[in-house]
Amino acid sequence: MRTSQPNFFVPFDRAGIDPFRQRFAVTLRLEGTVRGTGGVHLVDETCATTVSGLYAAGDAATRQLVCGGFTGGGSHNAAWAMSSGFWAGAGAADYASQIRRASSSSLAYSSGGIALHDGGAAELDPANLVRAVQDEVLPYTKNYFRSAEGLGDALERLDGHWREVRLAGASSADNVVKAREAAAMLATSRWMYRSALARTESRGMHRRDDLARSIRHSAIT
Amino acid sequence: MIEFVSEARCITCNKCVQICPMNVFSAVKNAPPVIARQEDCQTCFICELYCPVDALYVAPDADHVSQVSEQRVIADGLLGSYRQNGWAIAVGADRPMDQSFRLGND
Repeated sequence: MRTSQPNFFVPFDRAGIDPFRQRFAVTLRLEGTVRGTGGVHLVDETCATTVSGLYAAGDAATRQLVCGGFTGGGSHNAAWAMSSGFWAGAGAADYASQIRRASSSSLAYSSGGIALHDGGAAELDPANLVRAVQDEVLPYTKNYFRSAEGLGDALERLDGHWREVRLAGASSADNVVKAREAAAMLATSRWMYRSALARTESRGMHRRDDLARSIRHSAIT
Repeated sequence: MIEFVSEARCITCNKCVQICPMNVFSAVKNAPPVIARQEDCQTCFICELYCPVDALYVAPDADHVSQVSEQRVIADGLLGSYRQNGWAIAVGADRPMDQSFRLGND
C-alpha cells in the first residue's frame, strides 16, 4: 500500500500514527453537492449546458455521464476532470470565436451584484456568511439524511441570508474576493437543496429519507 | 494546517504565494513570504509540493495549529516528505507500481 499510495500515508507519519497497528479517529467529511450528488446538467459532447455560452467541467459538471449516481475519488474522477476540462475549454473557445465572427462589437455585462454594488447596508462579513452556510450544509441530519421537511427548513434560512446579503454594501478591495466566494457558497447551497427537493428519489449519494430507495426513476439535477 | 516557512531554507521564489488556492501567504520584498492567513489553510499540501527546497511544513491536523518546531520536523525526517513520497521524479523512477509521476514530465 505504501508503494501504490505513498501520499496517503504522509499525514499518518506526521501524526505519529501507525495505521496498520493503531486505531485512529475518523471524521466523515460530507461534500454535499459535488460528485454523486449533483453538478450542472450537460447537453452535448462539448460540455455545453442549457445556458448558451456556459460550459461546465470537473466537479461543477454532472458526473452521471461517467459514474451514474455514485462516485468517489480516484482514477475515473481524475480522468473526468482532465477530459471534461479539455472538452469544455474547446467548446467555450469555439463559442467565443463564433460570437466574435457574428458581431464585431459584442458587449459583455457583469451580472454579479452581491458585495460589488452598494446595497445600502453594512459590508458583508465573509467568515460569518461561510459559517451560516456551513450550519445548514454540514450537519448530516440535514444534508446526508435528506427529507422534504429538513431541506425546506434549511432553504428558508438560506433564502433569508440571500435576501440579507443582497442588501450588503460594496466590499473593500481586500475583502471582495472572500465576499464573492462566500456569496457563491450561499448560492450553491440554495441550488443544491432546491435540486435535492426536486429529485424525488433515493439513488447514489442522494438519499431522501422520506422517499424509498429506487433505481427505476431517475432525475438529472 | 501550514505550520512554518523555514527562513533558513527559503529561496524567496514565492511559488507558494502563487500556488496556494486559499491565498494563505503574503510575499515580502527581499524576504521569505509570511503566513498571513493561517486559518484559511485547507491542508492540501500543494505549497509543499511546489516548494523546490522543502522550506514549508503542513501538519496533518486540518482544523488546529499544531505549533510543531522546525527542529523537531527535521529531526523526525518529515520536512519535504510529502513531495518525496510519490511526486519527486527521482523517487518515482524507482517505483514501478505507480508510473503516475510521468504525467509531470515534459
